[in-house]
Amino acid sequence: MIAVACGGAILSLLYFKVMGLMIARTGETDKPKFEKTGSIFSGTIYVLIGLIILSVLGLPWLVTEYFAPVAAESLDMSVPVATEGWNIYLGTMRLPLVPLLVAFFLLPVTIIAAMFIRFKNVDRAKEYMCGEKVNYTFSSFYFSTEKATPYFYATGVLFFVALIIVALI
Amino acid sequence: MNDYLIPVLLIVLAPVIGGLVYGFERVVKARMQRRIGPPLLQPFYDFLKLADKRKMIVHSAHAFLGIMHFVSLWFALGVLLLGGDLILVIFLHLLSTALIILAGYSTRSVFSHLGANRTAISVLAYEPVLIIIAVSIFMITGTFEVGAVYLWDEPLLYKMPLAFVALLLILPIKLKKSPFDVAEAHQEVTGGVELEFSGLFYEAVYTAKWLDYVFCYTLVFLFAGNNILLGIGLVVFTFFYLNALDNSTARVNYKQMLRFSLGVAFSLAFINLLINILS
Repeated sequence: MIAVACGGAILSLLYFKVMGLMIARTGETDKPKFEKTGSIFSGTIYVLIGLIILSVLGLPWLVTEYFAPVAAESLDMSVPVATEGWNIYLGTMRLPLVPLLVAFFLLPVTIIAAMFIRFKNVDRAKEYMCGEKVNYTFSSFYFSTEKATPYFYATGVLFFVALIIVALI
Repeated sequence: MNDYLIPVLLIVLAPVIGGLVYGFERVVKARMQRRIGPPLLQPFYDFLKLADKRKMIVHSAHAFLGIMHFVSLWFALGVLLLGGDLILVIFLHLLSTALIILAGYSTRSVFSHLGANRTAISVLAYEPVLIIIAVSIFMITGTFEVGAVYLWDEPLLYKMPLAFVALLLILPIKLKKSPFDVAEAHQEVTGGVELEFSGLFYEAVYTAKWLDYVFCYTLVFLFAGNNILLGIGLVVFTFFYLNALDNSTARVNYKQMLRFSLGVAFSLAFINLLINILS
């Protein structure tokens, strides 16, 4: 659990980078600019979003009927997980589902709302550049994967080899 | 009814309490530097001055995210004071920080971007420690409910001294105090993510800082269990410790901050957790 929490904190840095790029705009425009993507890309994203929503809503069922039995079988010990009403019990630990779900949806809802909310009777200002004429040459999304591309295949193969080894063990 | 009266009052008055703490902090810091300093109510005078300023924004999404940072932080504080789930509180607090980071990224300002990057690194520095502390509290009390921790007979400090030290080490990062004030570092990034806010919209970010004080000192108070006097003592000690540290240290860079936080504070919290598990 601690490893997942800490790993999640590190991973969230990457999400920030991507989300930062998605909502970035200059002081000269105040409206979101929509891009059309091919159906093969948008279709994949819609399926992913659908699966995430279904997984979150079906968490009580998934935890008790799927994850707990698999974990119990893998670890060869009982995993005390139960659901009662809107709570999940992991041993003696109680996790209230509704506040967690609300919190989970708050971030995307706020960001989407930020795209469409417009303030009236306000003046617009350009970004502060400390009196200098600065050419904006970097952004939050500045890492390049070009150098790492040749290693993608090897990493993928290693990942599946690791999966097979773990499964065999 | 009475059980909720004090928490609800604290929630409603949290910005005022936070403002007074900030005002007192400025007085104490000034005295430490042998200056007279501003009056106690200076933060509120600033508040009124900002309210009267011309409303200027870079773009609406940026201004909206700043306001939502304040709202979500107040909400997180509300859940904490009402005795909610500690994991949820930490998550909601992270959410409010995420919104101000995204606000920083949403503009094409170099200082704002650098500040957002540094704030994200700060989250990486203190968040794992907070999670370990929450798990340690669970190992002792058997619950993540803050309400149960407030009523715990024996102060948690006695069983979690290392975790308390770890909390003391990460609080300067959270409250952007020297030597870990890299996120706003005025001389380097002129306030970081706060830079592009002004007037009424800066007011939200400014007041959120006051709420952060109340949030952090409430976390400190948790270590006293139901011993209110000890809780007040811990809060007062932490207040003077933070200000003495802020006044007497120079800023480190973000790599040093991260190395120190994950190397020292995280290790201390983790050792405390292991001791709690073994005992």
